[in-house]
Amino acid sequence: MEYLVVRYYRRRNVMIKDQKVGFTNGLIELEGGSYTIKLSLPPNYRPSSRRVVLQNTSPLNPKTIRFEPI
Amino acid sequence: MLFAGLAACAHYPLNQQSEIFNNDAGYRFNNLNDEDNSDSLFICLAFSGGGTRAAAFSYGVMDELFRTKIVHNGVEKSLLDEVDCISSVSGGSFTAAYYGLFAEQLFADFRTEFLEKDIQGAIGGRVLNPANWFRLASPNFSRIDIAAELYDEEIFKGKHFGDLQDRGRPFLILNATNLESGARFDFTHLHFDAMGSDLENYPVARAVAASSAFPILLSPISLENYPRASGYSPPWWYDGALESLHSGRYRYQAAKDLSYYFDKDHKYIHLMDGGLADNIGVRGIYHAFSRGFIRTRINDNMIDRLVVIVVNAATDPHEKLSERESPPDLLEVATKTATISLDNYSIESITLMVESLRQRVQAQQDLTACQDILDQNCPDPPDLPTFGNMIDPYIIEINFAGAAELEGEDPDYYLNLPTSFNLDHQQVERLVNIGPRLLRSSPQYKCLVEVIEAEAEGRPRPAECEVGAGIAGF
Repeated sequence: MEYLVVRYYRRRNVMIKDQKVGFTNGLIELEGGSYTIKLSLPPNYRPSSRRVVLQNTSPLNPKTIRFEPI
Repeated sequence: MLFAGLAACAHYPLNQQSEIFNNDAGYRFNNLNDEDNSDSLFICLAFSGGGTRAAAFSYGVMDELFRTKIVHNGVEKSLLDEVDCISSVSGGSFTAAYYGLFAEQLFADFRTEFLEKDIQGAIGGRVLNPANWFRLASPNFSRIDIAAELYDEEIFKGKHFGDLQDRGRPFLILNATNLESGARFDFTHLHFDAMGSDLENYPVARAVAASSAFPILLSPISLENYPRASGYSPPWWYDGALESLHSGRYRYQAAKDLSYYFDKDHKYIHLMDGGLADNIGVRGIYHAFSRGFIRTRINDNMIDRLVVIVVNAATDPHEKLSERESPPDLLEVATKTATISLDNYSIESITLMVESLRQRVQAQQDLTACQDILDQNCPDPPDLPTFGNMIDPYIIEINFAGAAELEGEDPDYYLNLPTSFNLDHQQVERLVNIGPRLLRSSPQYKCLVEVIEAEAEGRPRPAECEVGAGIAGF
């Protein structure tokens, strides 16, 4: 498994396609590989999505991406 | 001429096409009633193959779970009430499907309806019945269809997957093997959506027949691979998976296996015994853990305690190959070729599950330890990112070798039982009785019961059952 943290100024659901896969600002455990990450509605953040490749991560060194409020 | 005409008419029942895709409907884990079954204690069972031997062994384990009373979230119930999913293969699929359809009626009926019946004799009788010869002469109707009819009439009473949905949890993963691709195939919407096929009207008996279609003795169950239904979208983990060979190999392979069904040149899918792909039933649970309903619940902080109970009815009969100067004959080589890889893969499947859970426990421990060090040594310590909750995992494998630890038991008796759908009363009785004893003697199971009890009584968990004890010893 690989580790991802999605930073946002408040708690939102982290989405892959229409599936909730975790929460912002916490550790999310996923299989390795390429994903397109979004947040749950409303779409008041940017960018609208982020593409990540999870590999060679660890719990203390997760892949970290950010969204900003519009 | 008449005979030839009649023979040409006989055809196996086809799965029906599904015109519209609806992820919120149908026999899916998320659509099952979970009022009386919490996610916080999440239990999945894996039932191996092995004919009636496997069915009886798993039946005995279910009986023990039914008799084990717990208090969870303030509610008194049996451990069986908390079983959320069952992944099964071949003989184990009979027990799984019977419980899924008829719940505790399993304990009233299953021994007489299945375990103590000469099922293979009954199939043989139907095959030899002249009334069936004209159907069997058709290239589209064969021995497995006779077997499926028997199962449908006498065991599963005409029930379909829609009837499983009405019953609620546990969710069943009945495993077969795609004979062309060699990959695991399960009778869930994962595969049926990809095939544009309706699942709810598909007979449970035919799924169990496919799961237990022993090569050569029985023939494959066949399905039609329809165009994908309108609105179909692959599962969330699929997108990007085929680009992830070097960064997510298992996910890549799962996507490759699923994309087989997107290729409509594969117009018909021929399925045989699930044991060819995974004889222990663990891979279905691993799929749910890695990228299915278990993974989404872990990441949604819904699971506190994850339990996988593997009921492994594999045998290890006395071999005499090494006592002979002359090498094994063709049949012996063929048999060993098939079973060697099955057994090796079963070991690897359990190891994969254990290592995945061990990685999670290690991650939890490392994060806690590092945060403690920061808190102790830094004037303004940062907060490390953390999991939403800590998971307490358990893998409990019971197998016949464990009988060596039980007073009055001889593991060789069980390890030399035949793979057959006809066992005598004494064989069934001993199999039904050994499962509970093996389960109760498992250190991981003992810890599970003690930890649940301590939690219900507001006591600390026993020192010897710290988090991680449930996956120790593998």
